[in-house]
This record gives sequence, C-alpha cells and structure tokens, in this order.
Amino acid sequence: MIVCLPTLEDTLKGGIGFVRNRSMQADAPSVVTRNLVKDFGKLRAVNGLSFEVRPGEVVGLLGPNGAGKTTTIRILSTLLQPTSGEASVLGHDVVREPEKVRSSEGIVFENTNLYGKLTGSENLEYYGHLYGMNGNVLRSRVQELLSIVGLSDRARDKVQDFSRGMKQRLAIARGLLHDAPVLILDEPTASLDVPAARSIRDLIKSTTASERKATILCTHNMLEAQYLCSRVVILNRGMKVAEGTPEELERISDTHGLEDVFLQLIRSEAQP
Amino acid sequence: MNLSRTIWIMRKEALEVIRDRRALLGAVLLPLVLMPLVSQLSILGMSPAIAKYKLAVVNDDDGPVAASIVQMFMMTNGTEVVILDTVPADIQQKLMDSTYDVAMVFPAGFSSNITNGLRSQVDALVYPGSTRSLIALSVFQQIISSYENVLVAQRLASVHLNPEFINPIGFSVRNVGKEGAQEASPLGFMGAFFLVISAFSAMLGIGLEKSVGEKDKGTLEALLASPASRREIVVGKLLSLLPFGLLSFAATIVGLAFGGVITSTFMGQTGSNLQMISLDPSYLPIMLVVAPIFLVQAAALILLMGFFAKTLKEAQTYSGIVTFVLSFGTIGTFFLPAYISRWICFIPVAGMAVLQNFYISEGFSAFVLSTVLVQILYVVLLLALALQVMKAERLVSASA
Repeated sequence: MIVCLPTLEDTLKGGIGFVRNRSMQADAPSVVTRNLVKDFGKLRAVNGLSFEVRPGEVVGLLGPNGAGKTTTIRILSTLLQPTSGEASVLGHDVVREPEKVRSSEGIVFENTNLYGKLTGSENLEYYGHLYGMNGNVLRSRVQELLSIVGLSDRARDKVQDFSRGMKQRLAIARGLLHDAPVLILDEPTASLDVPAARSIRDLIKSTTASERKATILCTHNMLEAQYLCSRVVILNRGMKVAEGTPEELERISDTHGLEDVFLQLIRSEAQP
Repeated sequence: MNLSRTIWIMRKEALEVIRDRRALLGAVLLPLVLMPLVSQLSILGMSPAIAKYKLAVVNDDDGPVAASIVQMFMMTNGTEVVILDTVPADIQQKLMDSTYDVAMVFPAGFSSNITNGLRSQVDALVYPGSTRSLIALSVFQQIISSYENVLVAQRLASVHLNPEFINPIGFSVRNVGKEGAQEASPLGFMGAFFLVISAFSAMLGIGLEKSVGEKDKGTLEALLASPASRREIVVGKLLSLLPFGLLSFAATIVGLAFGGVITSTFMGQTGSNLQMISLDPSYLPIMLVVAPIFLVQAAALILLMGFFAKTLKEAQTYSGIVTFVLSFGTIGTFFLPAYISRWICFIPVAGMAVLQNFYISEGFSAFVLSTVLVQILYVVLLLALALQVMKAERLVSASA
C-alpha cells in the first residue's frame, strides 16, 4: 500500500491525499470529476469537486444535507449539466456523450422511482428494454435479480402494494439489471429494517467486489459507509473537505468511527 | 431516435392507463353518459312532448274567446290545465316549486272586448328564475298567438281584406355559401366542439399524469437517467395518449348518436327538428382531416404544459386557461362577426372546432386549407417546445 497521509490541518483546508493500492493503480478510473462546479442561480451547490472511482471500489459521498451529494450524482447521471469543470464515466464526458454515460450506469435513487401500477417484474422488464435487453436474456436476468433481492414470490404483484423495503429492494434490482460497470446508489438502505438493510449492503459489497464495479454510495448512515466504503469523500457546502479510507480518516482526526470523523470535520468547517 | 425504446415507452404508458380505471372512466364512460344528456335529452326534456307543463288558469271572463283559448291549452299535448277561482296568495311559491309552470288570468270582459273589435290583455304569471317556467310561457304564448292570427284573419275578412294587408313584406333566406350548405344543422358544429372538448379532457388527465405526475412521483428522474433520449420519451408518451383521445372521440360519437336515436324515437319529426346539437354527416370530411391533427396537437400541448409545470397544481392552472380558450374560441363564434371568428381558426386546438363551421360554408376553400396548414405547423411547434422543456434542468428539482 502506498499511503499519502496529510496532516489534519491539510485535511481541513481542503482535502486529503488519495490512498491507492498497487492493483488499483493498474486500473483506469471509471468515474472522474475534475473541478466540478454547479451553480443554481446565486447558490453554488458544488464547488470545485474532484474525485475518482476505480473498478472494484465503493466510494462514499458523505456530507450533511445541502452538501452537494445529490447534485453531484445528478451531474454524473446526466440529469444536470455542470456549470464548469469536467465529469466522465468510463471515459465518456457527461455533457458530450450523455447517452453513453447513462448506458454505463446503474442508478438507485433516494426515492425508489418505481411505477406503482406495474408489477415488480414489469418494472424491471420495462427498464431492461430501455437498456436494450430483450427476450430470454432479459427474462432470466429479471428472474435472477428478483430472486437475489427476495422478491420472486411478489414478481406478479403491483408495486403500489409493496412495502417501502420491498420497493427499495426492487429499485436496487433495477440498478443492477443491465450489469452496468458503474453503480450510483443514493441512500439505498434508507428506511429499510435491519435485516433488509444488511442484505442490501452485503449485495452491494459482493457485487462491487466480484464484478469489479465502480460504486458511488451517498449515505447519511456512517456505519453503512464504514462497512461498505473503501474510500469516502466528505463534502460540506459543495466542497470536498476530506478524502481517504475510513481507517485513515479515523487516524488523522484521532477519533473512533466515521461518525466522529464526520462530525469533527463538519464542526471545524462551521467555525469561523 | 430508437424506435424500439419509443414503442416500449408508449406500451408502458398505455398499460398504466388501462390499469387506471378512473382515467378510462373519464375517457369512455363520461362521454357515453354525458353526451346524450347535454346534446339531446336536455332539449328533449324541455319540449312539451316530454315535459308536462302545468298551467293554472283563472278565468274571470264568461265569454267564448277565453273559453276557446283555454280549450286549446287543454288540447295541447303535454299540458295539464288547472282551473282556479282566484290567483292563490302563495302563487310565487307555487311557481318556484313547479306546482304550476305558468298561471294565466283572463280578466272580466276579455271576450266582449275582442268581439267588439278592441284589444284585451291576458296576465301571465311566471317565475323568472325557472327556465322551465319561461319555456312553458313561450309554448302558451305561441298558442295564443296562433289563435290571434285566426282572429286577425277573421277581422280582415269582415272588411274584405287579406292577411297580407297587414303583413306586406315577405322574407326569404338565400345561402350564398357552398351549395347545399343549408342542409347542415345550424348548431351542427357544436357536435364537433363536443368531440374536441371530450377528447381534450380525456387526454388532459392522462397526459398530466404522464408528465407532471411522473415529476411529482420522481419516476421521471429514473426515466431521464435511462438511455432513453428526451425525444424518445416525448414521442413515446405522446403516442400513448392518442388511442385514448380516439377512444373518447368514439365514445362521444356513440353518445351523440344515442341521444339522437332517443329524441327521434320519442318525438319523430318534431324530435329531428330539435336535434340542433348533433353529429351532422356534412361535417364528416373535415372531421376526418381535423381529428388526427387535433389529437396530436392536443397531446403535444398537454405534455408541454405538464413538463413545463413544476407541480400538478401549476399544471392544472395552465390547463384551466387552455380549456377556457378552447371553450371561448368555439362559443365566441355565436357572438362574434364572421370576420373576427375567422381568426379564431388560427388559435391552436380551439381553431379545430371553429374551422369545421367554416368548412360547411366554404368547403375546402383556400382559407380552410391554409388554416389546416397553420394547425399542422402548431403541431410541429408544440412538439419542438415540449422537447425543449424536456431538456431543461427544471425537470429535476434543484435540491443539493
């Protein structure tokens, strides 16, 4: 491991150096943002954000409400255009090649965004068709994913009759449907009960590792971030305030647990 | 544009509507039930052949003229005459609650005045807040008027004069429009208006659900993040609306025809004369031209409103304005001079209903064809605008 450890002072000033192992260095980053800026009128929601995500790693985007996490995800999913800076997915620029970017991503939004009047399998099949899947390949993939997320027995039920947890699991299945090399997950386990949340986390972890997906995870749950993320990027007021593995950030801030690291960084930022 | 993706979007949207009973009720059942009521049965219900009008008569005259007129009232189909000694003290209440529709008082000396060549007066009591009361009055006035005509003819004959002596000017109507135009019923274009308004209303509810409704639920965000392009999404959604607009068209035609059959069955020739708001076959050629243009135009306009609005409430405000313009455009043709109402033809959506009236007068004239062309251009413009709105970032909320 090559570890570049800055001081806590450096960290608070505007970021922490990357921690990379040698195998990762061999892989080109799947997601790259460089000096990303997004303004909504006078409000700067994202301010000069740069980070990379490599195949096989889960990078957590952490931050308080309004930190710029969702805006960053929306830029990466081509729903918003950056005011300045660059963002690319598998080498495709989000502004110039939006359709290629969208085809490369599996996205799970904070709201499940499913069609209530369609059944579980119809929801997946619909998106499968939009991603260019067809016939037996699509059907067997839908069966497989419904089985993985434990919804095989509810496949023919309308989604409007699903519980919140079931909808969340179906939304994750939709994100995994076309086997995209990049996964973007916005609060994937929010409002799930403990066993369901645990099974989803295990699924994310195993899928990312076994299929070498580049995964971006937005979450307010620090335990989840600690469990899943190989690296975390902490945002506040649109700016990156720290980046590193959870262990490194703990060591630097001399605290235990990502939650304490997070709180220390955010409070430091809040001080004049 | 990927055709397969567009078709899958259309298929999904249609499937959702089919599973939404309320939307189907709005598109099919409402026109089937409402059209006969609005177009035919309301007229039918007010006609003396169906509605039993109750007339209270206070006859203070003992002469033959009043007796003859009362006799004519009694012989009129659908009229119930109640003879009273005096006008009841609570006559206002009795007229308000339709115990009587009209009360008539023949004063003493009514007949003797008339037989002496003088003028007599009947007092008619009506409640102006009741349409039924006013219609009944017109029916009874016509009866008195016809009796009066006979009296006048007798008086003129007694001095060796013809009725033309007091009615020297004749009046004939010559249609200078398209040959055969007079065959179209005067309010026939209202049938076309009902078709337009029914299809628009049916597509409005569905279209807003597919646009701003998806925005509200958040499903649009996931769709926009899929490989489907904005154009595929707009076209797919638009195509999914058309069958329901057509379905509503069909239901409205059946509803109007059903109303017509009932009127004719109950009233025969009288009923046919009352079928002012009906489907007139003379409008068929222009309706075949207008219907597809209108459906695409209305669907594009609805999607444009839906994608532009931030919330369902905002979209409903826009649709209220559009519906007002649509209604005003058509109803305006009643009141406005032709040179102004011609311009209404150039209003998107509303012009479609009005245009049909001009077709009846002029056929496929240069004006009618140029209006059709302008309406086609509106289709292109509305689609382009809907696509532009789809590209706007306001489709996705600006939460950070």
